[in-house]
Amino acid sequence: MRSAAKYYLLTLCLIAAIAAGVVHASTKERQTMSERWIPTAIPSIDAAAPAVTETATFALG
Amino acid sequence: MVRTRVGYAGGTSEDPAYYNLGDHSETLQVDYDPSILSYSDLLQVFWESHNPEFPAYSRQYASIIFYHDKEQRRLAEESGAREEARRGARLHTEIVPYSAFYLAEDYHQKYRLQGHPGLVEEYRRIYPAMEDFVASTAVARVNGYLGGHGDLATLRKELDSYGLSEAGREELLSTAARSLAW
Repeated sequence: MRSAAKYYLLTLCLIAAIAAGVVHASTKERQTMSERWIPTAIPSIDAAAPAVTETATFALG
Repeated sequence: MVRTRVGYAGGTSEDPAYYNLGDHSETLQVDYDPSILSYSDLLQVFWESHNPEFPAYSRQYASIIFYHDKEQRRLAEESGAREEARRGARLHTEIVPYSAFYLAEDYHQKYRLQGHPGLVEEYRRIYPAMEDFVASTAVARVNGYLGGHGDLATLRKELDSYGLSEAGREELLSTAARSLAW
């Protein structure tokens, strides 16, 4: 009986460890993906936009 | 082309919305650098982008040039006359003074880009405020390419300046290549 209980507890611990590992790996992957590209500046084409522009307005049917 | 936005103009009601347009028409407004692009160039694109030989189905879809000053008025009227002569048909395009422009709802802005959530997410991280997102030249260019406009050579030349991740660049290039191939 005692041996069965130990086996049961061991199995539970094993399942918990696997689950924790999966969650950790998943979180790590998400972090890695988001860290892959973090914009730090506006696109250079926007930074170089002319200060003076003219405006045109159309309704194209 | 520096900035683009879509909205409503030409009517009399205040603050029109897509489901409450009143007598306004769906309108495109562009800011351009006159040292690179002329108003006449834009008029050419205007005539090539639709067929005003028939009356509009409704006020919502009217063909209208809203001139902002006397020079735009002169150029619009001259090009309208030339276009009528070229087509040999009367055109149902109104040429009227610009008075007001009402920005359309967020989901209408950069419509082609909005079909690519990953690219939108990248730009919204740079421009959390919708008004900044709409005013971005990079966003306008990417939206145009995704809609099948422009050419691949220019896209490849400018790609580094659009601020996209490697994955974003690949998505833009592959989508543009498919639509521009037609």
